[in-house]
Amino acid sequence: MTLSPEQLVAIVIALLSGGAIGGVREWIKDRRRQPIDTSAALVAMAQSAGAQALAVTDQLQEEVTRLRGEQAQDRVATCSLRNRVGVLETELRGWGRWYAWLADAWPQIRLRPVAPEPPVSQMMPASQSILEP
Amino acid sequence: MSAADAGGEGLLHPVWVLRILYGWWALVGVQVVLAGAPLPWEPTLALMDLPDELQVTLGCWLILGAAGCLLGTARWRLISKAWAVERTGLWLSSAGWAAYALAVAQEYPAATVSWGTQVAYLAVCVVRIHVLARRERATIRALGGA
Repeated sequence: MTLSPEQLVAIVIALLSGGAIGGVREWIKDRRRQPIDTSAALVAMAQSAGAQALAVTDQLQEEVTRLRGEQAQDRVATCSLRNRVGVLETELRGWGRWYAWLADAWPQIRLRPVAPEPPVSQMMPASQSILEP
Repeated sequence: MSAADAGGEGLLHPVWVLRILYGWWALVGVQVVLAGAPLPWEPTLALMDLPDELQVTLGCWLILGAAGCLLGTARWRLISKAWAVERTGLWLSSAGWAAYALAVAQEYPAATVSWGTQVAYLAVCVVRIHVLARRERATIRALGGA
């Protein structure tokens, strides 16, 4: 698009006039508004920033409290699981020993009229299964 | 609101970036005014299409806008006045840069760096006007105003 010199001059003048109107509008707006003192504004903004920082701190504090609660629950769950694993290991060792004894003595045992006793279980009764928390 | 708006900060303060930019704008205005004068160098060839009077007017306009912007970044007792002065300067500057960019683009449309610089300055003006308006609203809110 090529503008004639007259058109260019007209557009430039229009743009400059627009800027002047914008500038005058700013002055009028400023005269209508309540003046704001620099030091009062700085203090107010500092207080506002402080309040915002406190709000963020409170939010973080709540988050930390929630995480601590979750951590305590996790710790309890971990202890419970550790206990159950311990019981299962004991049980497994008992069965392991019993199986070794059975395998060693199998030639004699197989001739007995009565079957041998199973190993003594460390586990709770089936009604209180350790597999379920 | 940053302390920049209170003015008079150390040299490392971001307000100095603005002051340097505004200072350069004023220097550009001076060079545009002088472009028509018989100087041993040519500050700008891009405004040849404009009549001399309009070129001088544009230069003065840029100087006036930059002066307002610079004045607005100084230390004022009333920060609202500082904002108004800077915003008035920014309005004048934005109009000046838009006119400048148009004149350059008209004469040398392929010289994208030449008119792109003025468009970037125009964008700076628009963004700064917006930032100042937002800062003003935040301050009024913090002061308990409506």
